[in-house]
Amino acid sequence: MPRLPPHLLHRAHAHSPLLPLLLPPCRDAPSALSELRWLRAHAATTSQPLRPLCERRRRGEPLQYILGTQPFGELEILCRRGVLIPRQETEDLIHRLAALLATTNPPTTRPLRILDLCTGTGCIPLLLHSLLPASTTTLAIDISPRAIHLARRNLRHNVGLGALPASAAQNVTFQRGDVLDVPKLLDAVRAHFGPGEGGGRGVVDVVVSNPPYISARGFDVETAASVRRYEPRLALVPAADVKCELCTKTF
Amino acid sequence: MISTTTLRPATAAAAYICHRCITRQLVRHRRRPQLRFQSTDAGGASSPAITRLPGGLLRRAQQLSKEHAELERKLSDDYNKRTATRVGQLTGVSRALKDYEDALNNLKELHELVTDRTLDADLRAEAASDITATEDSLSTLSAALTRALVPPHPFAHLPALLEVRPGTGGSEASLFANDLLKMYTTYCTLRGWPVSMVSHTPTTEGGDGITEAIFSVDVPGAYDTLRGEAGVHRVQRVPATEKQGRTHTSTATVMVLPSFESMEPGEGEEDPDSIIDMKDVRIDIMRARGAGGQHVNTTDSAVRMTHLPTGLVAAIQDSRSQHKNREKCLLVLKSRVAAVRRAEREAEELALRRGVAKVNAGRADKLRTYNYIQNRITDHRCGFSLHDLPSCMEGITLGTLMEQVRKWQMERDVENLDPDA
Repeated sequence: MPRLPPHLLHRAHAHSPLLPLLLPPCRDAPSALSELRWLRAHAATTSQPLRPLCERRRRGEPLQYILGTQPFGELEILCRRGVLIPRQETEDLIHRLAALLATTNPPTTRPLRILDLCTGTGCIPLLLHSLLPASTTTLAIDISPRAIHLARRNLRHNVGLGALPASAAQNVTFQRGDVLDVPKLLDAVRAHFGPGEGGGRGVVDVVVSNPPYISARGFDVETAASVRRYEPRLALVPAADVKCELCTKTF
Repeated sequence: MISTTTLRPATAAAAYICHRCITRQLVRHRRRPQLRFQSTDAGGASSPAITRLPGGLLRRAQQLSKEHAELERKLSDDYNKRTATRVGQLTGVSRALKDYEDALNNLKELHELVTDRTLDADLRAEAASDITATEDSLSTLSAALTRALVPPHPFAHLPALLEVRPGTGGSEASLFANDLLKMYTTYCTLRGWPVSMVSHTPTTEGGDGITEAIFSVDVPGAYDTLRGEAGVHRVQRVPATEKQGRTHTSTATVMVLPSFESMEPGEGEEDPDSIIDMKDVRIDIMRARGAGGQHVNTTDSAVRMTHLPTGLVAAIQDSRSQHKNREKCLLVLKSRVAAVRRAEREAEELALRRGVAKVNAGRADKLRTYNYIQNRITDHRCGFSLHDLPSCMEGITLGTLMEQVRKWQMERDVENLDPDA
């Protein structure tokens, strides 16, 4: 990563003494200015001093953990240490998926059934629920109890904000489970959606997942320092003994 | 005639009085008061208080009023939505014309009354005093008729989007841009109009200056009120940064755009200007280079949209939500595209009408000067000066200034009006 030129730091300091703190994690002036503005607004609403927040950011702590939220489509997703922060790419992808589902003809007349694996903050099922018809039922699985706890809070939080319909509380379910333990997972899915029609097919219509996909070496080399040091390894690097069992089985 | 009362004592006191004066005084009681006899049709014209309508305008008004009467008759036979809309549009003109003609007839009768020698003096004096009142009302009525005739701006009903940017003058210009921004926002707040900041970029050097500010006034009709503000505003003052007390001249530009956010397509009057094909829009999301996804966690939510056919660009990085930035960006882009299209169409129409554009308040010309040293704001278009700068900068007296501009605008519109349309 190139060094920050000193003149940039000087100019930043002239603008605000706190701005140089934000330059190392942001790398350029416009995004540092934006972050300073958001941090300032956050400090004002929660009436805490601004400098400690900027210091935390300087050390590389993700902005979303400091502010506690990340906008995700129309939703506001709460972010806490130990659970992966939703990414903008995911947001984009889910919007496309929802548009695709809205235009393609459903195979059945019953409401759509969605299974989300490795749900994390629950951002994917919640955003899908806000974009698709309210009758859509979703089961979301994560191995981390923290993630499940936060995902349930996110559901309540967004219903409270009015970003999600009240029916979301019944139609979106978060369950703790290990996606690599396939028999148990299948049992949980069947228990939730029913046995399906004929030969175990048609239990769910859509499977979405943003699973950990970074290799152990990639985690050490390719990831941004802020991600490596502050976000959970569990959500980024899959367990060492992953076999492609899921791929061979069909729902 | 004025001298008669003063002359009477003079006759007694003076040693000599010319023959003609003496005769005039002595005969006076047997004579009728002096009157103008040619004042029938030109009666109004003799008084400078009346601004008479140009013949073409009056003809147009009569024509529209006739159409109104015909359509109304048709409407009473069978109801038709389109005809009803047209009648609604013409009602204003027809009513204004009727008021104007009534007043004109009234004036004529009053003049006849005054000249009528069979009536007694009291009644005639009363009629004479009525004449001035009618003349006054006639001038306001003719102004009202002009207003009804001049077609309302096609975007007059829309909320407005105001953009303030510094022009020439460096940091002083950016400070002045901030002053202007404050002036407009407080003006809107004082009027009870909600103002929402779309984009606010302070200068990188620090201080109060801005490099750009865009805010929307989400009130229907705000565009009509504010559109006169668009252009180059010039300031003459000793800047805060100036150490030797020299006066500087700097400028800031204000752009006023109609905001299409809340526009509902009303009965067949949706404006095509604001419609853009999303296929023509290139959306750039400014995100960090290199690996994406789970590897990095970017907070950069800036969105930039380019309208390819016109090359217009809008960039927004205000909100943390890329989703919201996208919406805002599209809003800004649409307004810009519509403004360009409208400016093109207006220029085209004007050029067609006049052959050569006579009046042109182009963007390049300064339209107002804020002179802090003389405590004066002068609008160069209407030539009006306001001698209370602080209260205007606080948005209190800005309204009077805008009212003057409005009058000027109206006059210009009348001038641009095609008399044969």
